[in-house]
Amino acid sequence: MDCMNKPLRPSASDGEDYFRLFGLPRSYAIDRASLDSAYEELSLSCHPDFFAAAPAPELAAARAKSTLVNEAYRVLSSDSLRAEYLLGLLAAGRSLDTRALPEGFLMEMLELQEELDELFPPESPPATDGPQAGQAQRMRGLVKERLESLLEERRKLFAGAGESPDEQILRGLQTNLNCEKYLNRLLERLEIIEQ
Amino acid sequence: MAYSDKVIDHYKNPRNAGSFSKEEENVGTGVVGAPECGDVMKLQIKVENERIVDARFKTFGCGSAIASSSLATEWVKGKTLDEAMTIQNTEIVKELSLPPVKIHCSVLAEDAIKTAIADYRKKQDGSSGGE
Repeated sequence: MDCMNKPLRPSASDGEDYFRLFGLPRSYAIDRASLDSAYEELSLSCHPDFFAAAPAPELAAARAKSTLVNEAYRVLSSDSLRAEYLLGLLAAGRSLDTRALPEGFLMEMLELQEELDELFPPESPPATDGPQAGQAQRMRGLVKERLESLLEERRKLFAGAGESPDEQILRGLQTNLNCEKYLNRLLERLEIIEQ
Repeated sequence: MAYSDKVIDHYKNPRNAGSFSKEEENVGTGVVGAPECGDVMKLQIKVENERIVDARFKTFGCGSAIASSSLATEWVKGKTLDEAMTIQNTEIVKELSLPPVKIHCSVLAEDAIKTAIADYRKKQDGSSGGE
């Protein structure tokens, strides 16, 4: 792959995007092996070290390209970031309700947080063993289950989205991504409790 | 990034932390969230004759979110519902010296006040217009 022939900043408008950068189809489902090998190949082709003796503009271009490739890999290799990025591409400038949540979801999150408050008061020792640990494990299981069903729903939504999904699918995906943030927050808190 | 002294003060000594029973006739409850970070905030007001006589909050989030909601409960107390509706997030930003990345915490607090008031008014409509 020749690093210099590619534009430095892919954007949805000119048909270039992170997926295309790695020669991958624009989809949520991703072949990790292909992503990894494309990343390796690309980052080698434009690693600034190989341009140390090159004229300044070429070195600068290699640096910029290298940064772009790293950022693209960071986004595509994370399920959440890839989903967010792809949703942005699919929405193609249409505005999304970034606060969309299912009815009653926030209240449920608040109640789970309150339950954690009751089970594990701020001054209590870490729940590493005994019944406390069991409670923490139970809560973690609950949150993990919710996250898994969210991911399952996300896969289905993306699979049925096509290239230009309707508002309802976009909204469903945005809602799905929003929910994940709140559940991840609960998970982070549980991790601290269990430490 | 360092928190301002006022944020730290509210974080360490939160004002009006806790809950009212949300079933109470004269209590309005606002639950709001920030999808940017997964913070959840609950703000409750107790109302007598269109005036907020007491308030509580419970916030699961960063120091700035806790401070913003703590401050919001202080500010709404004693205000009429109409007066409380005019509280702007920018005033919270100023008072707590919140940095740009934490502005959404103040937005959350403003939303929580408005949602609590709306909830109270809805309750009143429901009970006065009824059977």
